[in-house]
Amino acid sequence: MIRRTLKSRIALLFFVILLILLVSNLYSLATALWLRRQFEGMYSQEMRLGRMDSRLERVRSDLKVFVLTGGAEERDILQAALEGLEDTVPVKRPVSRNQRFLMERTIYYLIDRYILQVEGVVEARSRRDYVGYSETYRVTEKTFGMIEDYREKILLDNLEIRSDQYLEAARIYRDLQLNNLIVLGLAVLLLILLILRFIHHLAEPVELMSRRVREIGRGNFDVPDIPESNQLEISVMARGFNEMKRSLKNSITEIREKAEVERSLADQKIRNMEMEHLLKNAEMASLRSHMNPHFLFNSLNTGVQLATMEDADRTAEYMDKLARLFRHNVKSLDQSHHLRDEAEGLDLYSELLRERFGDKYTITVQLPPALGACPFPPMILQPLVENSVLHGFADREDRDCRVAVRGEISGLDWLLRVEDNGWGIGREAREKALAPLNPAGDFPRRSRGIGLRNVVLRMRLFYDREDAVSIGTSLEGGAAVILRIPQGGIPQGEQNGQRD
Amino acid sequence: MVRHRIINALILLFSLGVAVFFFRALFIMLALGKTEPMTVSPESPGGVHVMLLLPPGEDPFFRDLLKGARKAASDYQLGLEIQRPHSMEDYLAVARISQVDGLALYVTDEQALVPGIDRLSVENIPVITLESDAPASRRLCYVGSNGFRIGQRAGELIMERQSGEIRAALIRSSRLFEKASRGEIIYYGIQAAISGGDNRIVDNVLSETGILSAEETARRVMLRNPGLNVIFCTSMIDTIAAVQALRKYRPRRDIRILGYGSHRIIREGMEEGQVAGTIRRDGFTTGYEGIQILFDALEDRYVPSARYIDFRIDLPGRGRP
Repeated sequence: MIRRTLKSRIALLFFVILLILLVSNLYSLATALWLRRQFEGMYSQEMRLGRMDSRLERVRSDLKVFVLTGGAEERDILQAALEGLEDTVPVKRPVSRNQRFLMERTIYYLIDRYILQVEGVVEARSRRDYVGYSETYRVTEKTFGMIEDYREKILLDNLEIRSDQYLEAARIYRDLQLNNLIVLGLAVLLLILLILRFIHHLAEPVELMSRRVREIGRGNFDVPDIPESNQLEISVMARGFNEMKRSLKNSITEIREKAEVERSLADQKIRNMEMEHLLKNAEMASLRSHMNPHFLFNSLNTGVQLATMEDADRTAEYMDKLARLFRHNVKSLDQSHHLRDEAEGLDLYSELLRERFGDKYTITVQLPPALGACPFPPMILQPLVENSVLHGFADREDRDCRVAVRGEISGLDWLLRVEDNGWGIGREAREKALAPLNPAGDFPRRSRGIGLRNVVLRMRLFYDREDAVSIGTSLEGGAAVILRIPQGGIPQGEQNGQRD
Repeated sequence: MVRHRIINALILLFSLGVAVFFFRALFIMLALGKTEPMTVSPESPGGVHVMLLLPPGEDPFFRDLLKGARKAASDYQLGLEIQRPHSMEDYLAVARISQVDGLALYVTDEQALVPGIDRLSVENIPVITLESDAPASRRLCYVGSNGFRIGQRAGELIMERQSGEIRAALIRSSRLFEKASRGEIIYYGIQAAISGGDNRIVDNVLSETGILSAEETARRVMLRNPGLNVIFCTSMIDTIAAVQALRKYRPRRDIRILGYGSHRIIREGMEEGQVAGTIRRDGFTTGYEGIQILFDALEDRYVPSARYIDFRIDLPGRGRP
């Protein structure tokens, strides 16, 4: 594509306009000159013949005077008239194919003859040869008559032809005038269109750019590129605009992405803070209970020793298991925790239950070996099982109270089901437990213990997913709490962190 | 984009319009330049000046002859000056004075024109006679129909069509034949054809110029020759006049006319049985070949002393005998 500068384009436009005007004017001038030449040419022969005839008449009249007077002065006058006549007769007499020009040619030869005859008369008159000059004079008159005859024929022919020619010329003149008018009209329209085209060509990309700028101003960076023009400046502007648009778009995208990352980080931070807050609460609770555990451990140890000393082995064993459970729970708050640790704590808890209630409660744990290594928040399974024992089987007189903890794979997640055959969990309690986090309400100063709600919140925070816990009904109509653990047990937040 | 295309299309359209009208003007001017020149353009490529002298009048034969002559002049690039004077004598002198390169003429007055023709020949200006000859002159060539053969063919036609004794009259145009031998030649031709028995030409007259005078001549011929049964006319005017006279004064169909031309009245006369036939000479060929032979003479080619041009006789109901 040939790109022209604005300057050269404007210059070209003016040049084209000037050229069209020049050609139009030259054309009009040429036709006018041609017509003038035609009209002049129409009567050129008549003008020539008219000049010749007037001089011929003068010679004839001067000859008459000379013949009458025979004076020297009259002879000189006649001589001058003859010279004047000779001047009207061309030496070169080309043959035309036109009858009238051939007759004009004949006239010239007749004039030559006439001049000779006049000179003959003059000579005879000078010699006073009366018979001779009378006869010669008669011959000159005959020649003169012949010349006049020819001239009249030419004029008569011309009159007929000129009438037709004049009408034809007038018609052509009108035709050409109309033609000129149309040519000029079309030329003017052409100029207007060229100017319009130029303006359009110049303004269109600017208008387009203006529209695109407005669009970008509204935040729409997806507007199409401005096509490159064959005009250099416009092309440069379009290119610059397109580059600027892309650059702006990239910058804005980067800023957005950065903001997104920052927001994500902030969210993560908030979650961490929340987690820390929960942990602190738990820690506080634990610390508060540390005082008690130490006292409890000491008391329990004392109780164990006393029971041993009194040979109350069963009591000693029970208290020993209780002490081990407490120790396990306290220890799990201080170090990294896995699902197998949680299962271990649950075993201790179920042994205690068995000691207390015999075989009323059957707690089974089925975990695939791979699941045991999953990082897992502490104190999750025990509260859930405890929840079943306390609430699910409340007021149950029968001894068939079963709680099953079962791990399985579902897609990309591990599912950990805690199901019982108790009363189930009511809708209100379920909604309350699964409600979104409300820091103001969910972390009261005074802990009421670690319940279902606490489990739900901690699971969500730990795995950074809202569907970490779901509550439903087991096949036997009891409660079914389903914990959703990412495969490998890596919390979502940490996964993101790894990705980043 | 659509607006852009429309503007471009209009620009193209108007440019074409300008070009069309521009060239139209050019063509008008060029076309006019090729027609009858308004301006002076005397130059001729050949540079040969030929004069053609014909008698005045509106005879179709001369009209065709002029066409043929003009065509030949155009073909051979000659400058052709045509004059149709009442007196050709002076124009022979003019031809000599104006140093024409050649002359062709229809001889109306042999006696008067022979000296002029001879003088031109002496000055090496070739002279051709057309249709009417001056055999006694030093003309170079005669181009035209054979007058004797025309008379003979007419006589034969009379013999074919007319039963019994033939009483014929010959009406010659005074303008064309009064002082030319051509009328006499035709007369001899007729006579040669009808000789034998009691057939004879009972009248041989010159008609006056003009249709009324010619009609009067025909009437007089009919009145003074009671046994007349054939009139032979040597011009179209005389033939028309004879037909009209016959209709007015001799409604009986006992006189047949043989004449020249194909005028409406003559054609009607043929349909009505008054006209037995008309002689049609080929004016165009006569004119064309006359100028052609003149050109040959100027080019120093062989020129015959006579070039006879075919004629034909139109008969009622068919074109040629």
